[in-house]
Amino acid sequence: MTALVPPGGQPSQAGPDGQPCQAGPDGDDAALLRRIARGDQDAMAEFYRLHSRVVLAQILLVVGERALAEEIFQDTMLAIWRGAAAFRGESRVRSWVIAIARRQARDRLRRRRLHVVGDAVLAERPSPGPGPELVALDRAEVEEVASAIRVLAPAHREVLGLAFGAGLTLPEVADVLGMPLGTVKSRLVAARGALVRVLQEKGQGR
Amino acid sequence: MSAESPHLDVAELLAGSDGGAADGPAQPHLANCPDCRTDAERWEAVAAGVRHLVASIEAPPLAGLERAANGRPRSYRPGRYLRLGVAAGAAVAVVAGLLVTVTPGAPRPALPIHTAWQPARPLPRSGTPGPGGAAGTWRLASYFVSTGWREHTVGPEPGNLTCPAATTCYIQGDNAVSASGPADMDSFYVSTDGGADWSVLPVPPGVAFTSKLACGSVTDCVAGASYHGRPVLVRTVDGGHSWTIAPLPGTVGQILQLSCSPATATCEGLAAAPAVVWHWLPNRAGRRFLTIAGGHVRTTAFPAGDWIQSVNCPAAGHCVAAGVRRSGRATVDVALTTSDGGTHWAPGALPKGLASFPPSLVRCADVSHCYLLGYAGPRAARSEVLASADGGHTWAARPLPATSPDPYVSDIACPAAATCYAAGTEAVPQQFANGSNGGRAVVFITHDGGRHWTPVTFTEPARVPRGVSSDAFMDVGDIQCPQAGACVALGVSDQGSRTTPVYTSRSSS
Repeated sequence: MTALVPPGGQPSQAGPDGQPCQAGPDGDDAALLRRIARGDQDAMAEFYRLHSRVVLAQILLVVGERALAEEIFQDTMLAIWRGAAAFRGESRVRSWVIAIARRQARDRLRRRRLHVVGDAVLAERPSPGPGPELVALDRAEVEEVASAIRVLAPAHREVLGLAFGAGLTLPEVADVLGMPLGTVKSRLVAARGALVRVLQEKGQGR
Repeated sequence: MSAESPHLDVAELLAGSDGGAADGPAQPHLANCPDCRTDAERWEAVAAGVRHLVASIEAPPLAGLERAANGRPRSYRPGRYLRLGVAAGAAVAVVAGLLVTVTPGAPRPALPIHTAWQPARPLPRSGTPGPGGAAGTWRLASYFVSTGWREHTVGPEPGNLTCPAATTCYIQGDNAVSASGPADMDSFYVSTDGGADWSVLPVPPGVAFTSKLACGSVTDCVAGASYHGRPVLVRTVDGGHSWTIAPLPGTVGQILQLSCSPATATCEGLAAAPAVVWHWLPNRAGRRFLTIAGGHVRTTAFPAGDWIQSVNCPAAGHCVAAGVRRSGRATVDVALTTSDGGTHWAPGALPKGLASFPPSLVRCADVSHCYLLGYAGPRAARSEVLASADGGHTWAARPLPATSPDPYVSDIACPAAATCYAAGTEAVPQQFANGSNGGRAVVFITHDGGRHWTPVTFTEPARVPRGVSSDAFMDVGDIQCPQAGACVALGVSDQGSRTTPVYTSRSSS
C-alpha cells in the first residue's frame, strides 16, 4: 500500500493509475505558466499533458456528465491560457488550476447548483469512526469502489477527488473549497460513509 | 489525536497509513492501535477507488491539440450527444417552414414526428395564492401565502424560463432526479397567470431540450433538443400540448440558442458543430451561426478564431454575437454584428481598459439597443454590463452599483431600449431559522440604459420551507420581461430539486 500523505502532510504524488503524478516540481509548473503568459503554445501543450487528466477527472467528478465536463474543461484551459499571468505563486499550481475549473463549473451550473447538502449539515454530521459497517470497504474490489463513487453526491465526489485524485493536501483542499480544514475532514468522513452505504445497498463488499 | 479522542483523526490517518509515514508522528499510535490501522487501510481503499476512477478518464488527445495549435485539421472524439449527431449526419434535411423532412435512408426513429395533443395537469397547491400587489411590486410568487410559506408544492423545477407574453410563461425543467445525475431537461411547465400558478405538460419521450424556447407568438415556439441523443428541432404551435420533432441536417450539431422573428418566420441562433473540435484556444469550428428560414436550416461560420458564447437577433438578419477571439498569441473579447443574416460580421468596439471581460450573454431590446454581460475583476467576482445604442458597433461600460457586494448576474431582460432587468445574486449571506446561505437573490433595474441601476431584493422566509434548500433563495437565474414592469424570474436551485422559487413583478390575478 502506498502512503496517501507522506510526512509533512504533503500528499503522495501517486497518480490515479498508481504511477507517480506527471506533474513535475511545482517550480516547473510555475515556469510553464510564465511561458504560457508570454503566449508560448508549446508550454501550454506541456501544461496540458501534465494536468489534463486530473483536471478533467475532477470536473467530471463534480458534474457527472462527460459532455458537460468537456465543455467546462475547455473553458478551464482557455481561462488558463488567458490568465496564466495572474498566477501569483500563493498556492500550488495544481490547486490553482482546480480552483479555476471549479469556478468554471460553477458558472456553467448556476442553474443547477452543485451542493446537494449544505456545508453546515455536512460539517455537523458526526464522524462515524471505525465501525462494523465499514467492513464493506475491506472486501470491495477497487472497481466496485470506483463504481460506487460515481453515484455519490457531487460534494462528496468532489472532496474525494481533490484529496485522492488531484493529490492535494487537506489544507489545499480546504483552500480550493473555501472552507475550514475541519469541515473538509468532516466532509471526507461523510463521503466515506456515503460510499459505504452505496456499497452496502449494492450488496458489494460483503 | 485530540482532546476529544485518543485515536487519530482523519488527517492523521491519511498521513499515517503504512508506507511513507513510517517515521511520522502518528506512527507510534498506529503501531499500537489495530483499529486505527484498519481504518487507515479503509481510507486507502477509498483512495484506490478514486485513483481507479480517475485513471479510467481519458483526456482529449494531445496530438489533436498540437495540430490545432498549428491551425491544421483536428480530430476529436465527440461528446455523447454530438457523437449521435454525427451518426445522424447522413440525413439530408429540407425544412418546410420550421418543419423538416428527411430523405430516405435517415436513421431511425424516422422524423419528423408529430405528437398527439395532451392535456395540462395543474400542479398541486396547498394554499391560497399569495397576496396581490400593484404592477411593479416585486415578490416571490410561489410558495407565498398570506399566512406564510406554501409547502409541499411540487414544481416548477429549475430550468429555462421563456415568457412570450406578460401572462404566459414556459419553463423547460431539469428533471434530473438527483444532484449527481446528468441534466435531464425533459419536463415542461406553463403558467397563464404570470407565473403565479403552473401546470405541467408532457414532453415526448426521448426529447431533452438543448436550448431555451424561442417563441414567435404566445403559443408558437421552437427549441433545440436531442431526440434519443440526436440533435433535432422541436416545435409546438399550441403552447406545449403537442410537438413536432424535426431532424436537422448533418451539418448541424446541438442547437444552443435561438431567437425568432415572427414577422419573417425566421429563427437564428447558435449551434454546435456536429463534431466537437477540441482546443483550448478559440476556433471557428466549434460554434456556428444557425439560420432557420424559408424552409431551410443552415449554419455558417463565424470569423476565424472566434469562439462565440451568445447570439441575439432582435430582427431577422440583425444579430449581435459575443465571445472571445484568438488574436496572434493572445485572446481578446469580441462583440460582432451582422445585418445580413450572418454572411458578414463586423467587430464592435469594446471599451478600452476593460480587463478580463469574457462576455457570456448578449440581449437586445431592438436593433439599436443591446446589452452584454460579462465578468470583471481579478477573481471575476463582479458582473459587468456593457451597453450599445448603435446596434452593437460601440459599447460602453454600465457598472452595477458599487454598493452591491460582488453582484453576479445570470440573465438580463430588456423590454424597452433603456429599460433592463438584470437578475442574479449578491454576496449578502442569509440566515434562516433552520439554515443559511452565502448570498441573496437580487434584480437590478435600469430605466436609463444602464447609467443607474436600482437593486430589488425580496422578503425571505423566516424558515426554509420543507423540500426547498436554503440555497434556492440565493440567486435568480432566468428573467423574462415581455413588458416593462411585468417580469417573471426563476430562482436557482440545486440540480435534482423538484421545485424552485418564482419571482414576479406583476400584480397577481
